[in-house]
Amino acid sequence: MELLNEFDKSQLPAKQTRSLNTSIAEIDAIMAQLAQARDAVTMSDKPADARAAVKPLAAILRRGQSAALDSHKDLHVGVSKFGKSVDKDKRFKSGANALDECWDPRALQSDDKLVVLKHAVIAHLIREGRFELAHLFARESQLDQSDTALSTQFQDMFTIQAAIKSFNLDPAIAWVRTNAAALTASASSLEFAVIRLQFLKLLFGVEGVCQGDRAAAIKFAQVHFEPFKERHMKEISRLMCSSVFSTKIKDSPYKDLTSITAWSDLSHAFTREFCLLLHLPAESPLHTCVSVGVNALPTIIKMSSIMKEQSGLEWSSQGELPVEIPLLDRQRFHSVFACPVSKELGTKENPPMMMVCGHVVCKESLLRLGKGSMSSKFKCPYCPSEGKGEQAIMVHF
Amino acid sequence: MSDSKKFEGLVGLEQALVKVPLEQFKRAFKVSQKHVEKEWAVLASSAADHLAKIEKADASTVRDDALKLIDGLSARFGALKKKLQESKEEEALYIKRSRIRLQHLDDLLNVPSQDSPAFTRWSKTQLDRVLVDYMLREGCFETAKGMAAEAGIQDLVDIELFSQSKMIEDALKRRSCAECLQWCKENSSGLKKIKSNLEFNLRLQEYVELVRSQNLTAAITYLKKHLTPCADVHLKEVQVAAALLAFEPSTLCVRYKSLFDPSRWDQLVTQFRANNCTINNLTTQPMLITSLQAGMAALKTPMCYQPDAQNVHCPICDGKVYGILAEKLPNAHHVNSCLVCRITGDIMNEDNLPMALPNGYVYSQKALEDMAARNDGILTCPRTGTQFHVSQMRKAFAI
Ligand SMILES: [Zn+2]
Ligand SMILES: [Zn+2]
Ligand SMILES: [Zn+2]
Repeated sequence: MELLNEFDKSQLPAKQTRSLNTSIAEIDAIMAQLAQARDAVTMSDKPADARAAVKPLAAILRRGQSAALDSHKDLHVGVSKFGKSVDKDKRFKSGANALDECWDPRALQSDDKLVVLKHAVIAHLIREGRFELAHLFARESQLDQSDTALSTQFQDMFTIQAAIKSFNLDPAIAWVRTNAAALTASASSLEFAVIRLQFLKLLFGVEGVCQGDRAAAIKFAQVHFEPFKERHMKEISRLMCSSVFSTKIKDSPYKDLTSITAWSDLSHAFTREFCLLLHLPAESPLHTCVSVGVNALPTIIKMSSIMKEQSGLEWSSQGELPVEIPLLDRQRFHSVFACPVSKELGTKENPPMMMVCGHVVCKESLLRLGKGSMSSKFKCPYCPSEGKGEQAIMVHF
Repeated sequence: MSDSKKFEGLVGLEQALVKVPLEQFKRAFKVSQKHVEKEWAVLASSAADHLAKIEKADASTVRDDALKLIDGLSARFGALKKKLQESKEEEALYIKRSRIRLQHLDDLLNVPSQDSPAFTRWSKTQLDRVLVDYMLREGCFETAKGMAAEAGIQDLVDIELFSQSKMIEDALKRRSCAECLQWCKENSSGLKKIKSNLEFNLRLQEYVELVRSQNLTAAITYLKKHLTPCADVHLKEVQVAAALLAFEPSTLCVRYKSLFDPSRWDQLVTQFRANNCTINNLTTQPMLITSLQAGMAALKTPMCYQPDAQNVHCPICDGKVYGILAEKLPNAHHVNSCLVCRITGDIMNEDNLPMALPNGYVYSQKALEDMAARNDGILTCPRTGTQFHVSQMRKAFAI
């Protein structure tokens, strides 16, 4: 960044140190002179000697000041120059005002909403495993600790995660066993993923942690792979084949099985499934909202400077932001269907309809294509196939 | 929008990060400069006076006078050195901090893409900063300090600034203007730049309190000393203030009653807070509130409030928290189709086509094929529970 270069060129830290050292050295010199003068006065009892000892002080006291001032001036010049570069930076042009004015804060200003927000912050801290901070924040903002249940649940998760980090799967295995029914119901394959990694750990060992033990691995497989034989047959046979290569695995087609990233992958999968069972998003919702928000703010600031006379509350009365905020794939949670014919968005009243050929348009467009009738035949606008409106089915994304 | 352009936009939101330590440095420097320039000169010239006296002094007292002078000077230069070291230490802190903050912004500009782990790390640090800022503004200093220390971001947040602000606010709540007046003195140039009348309002308040306690002699002295000199700018207020001497705190006359209103103290707190933010280039709203509103509006859809359309991963769909917070916000604006698989959460596109079941429910190809592989080709629609054979699914051309 240019500003960082400017800063480094300005040599402000060096100039600051110099101004400090110069000033202190000059003051020290004066104090040394004062001590000397004192010695001279005490060593003689003649008034004339005392007069002679203090006389040069008038000049000495001023002696270092100009050097100290010069070093300060040098620092001042450097800071002013850097300050000008900051002021000139186009990116900072809009300033704090733009951020304060781009949005009408009233939408979040009621007391009950501010309490909800505090609970959201606490939940975020708990999700991140910062239990002490969550507790402290609740106390400092005078909230009752109603979030202890969540805290306990996430404490379990972080215990398991910590164990995974040190290549110990026992707590994870215990957890998937306890929650096996719920996991199966949600079509999760986490249980198999944990068992699979335990098998690989036994077979190949983990560098610096434990040695591979083929016999133990095979014995483990015989007991624990049984319930997964139908669902994961392919993977199980691949795992069993790999055991043949356990010593020369690095040169085999199975070398991917020893990848150390398997552990962090499992850790991520674990967080995801754990949150899902608690009906919580896999990512912290506070993080999602704030990161989408900061990405959106430059666009919103630009827009609000264009439509100055309208505040955020007025946009909300129109029900929709006036511009599209681009979202990353992982930040899209709901399907949007825009009819390719009319460009209108699908709604309950005007839902998307799939014609016999598979092309999807909205219901109104379908009616228009059939010239107002659902029973008249027409050609699909996107392919040569023909069909009737009544043959189309409503689709749900 | 390209990622790098996007990052430039994010840097644009961070002007306070760069400007706050710069302002703090300038204030510390002003103090250092005062020590080196004025106080040093005062010491030297007062010594010169004493030296002249010693020159003419009686022989019997010369030695004592000389020793007294030398000891006095040693003590005062020692004190000057200590004060200078303190302000210089502050300068050094803010210079170091400026460098760290610029580096933090530079880190962002060097992030390869929004999908990289480096960006996730940066964005988590940003969230930590935003949260610490919010906690500081809420007066939760222990949490803020703990969090800053734990995340190692002490140099990226303004604990000192808000601690000082809290100290002054608390003083105002105790009905003491002295701390805030001292702050006005330290920030006089900044306050002048934004044409703030905070200092006048503080003076007026001190005067009103003297009248309230019916200490009229002191009130008149105070009026002459601090208020009438401001008559060129605040003529009307000064006139009203002077007339106030004729009224008791219990007056019913609206014009004067309002001056006695204790809520004026709250207004002083609010004005101080706002002025403090403005002269430091800080926003008056915490960034958490601003970014949260923008983010929630960008995510909000009508579906978030329809139970059958909710997605557990969507923040706004959480009706107990973000659903409430986003209540009064506008919905996002979308123009183009974007289909999200209800089973996997993946975006459906050319690589992962949307497939319709005979009941009209659409899921991603990967999700349905995976389900079929696990269940002997049987597909169970998760929303209706209806079962189909994998051969019954077909492509939906909707993208
Ligand atoms: Zn249409
Ligand atoms: Zn077609
Ligand atoms: Zn939603």
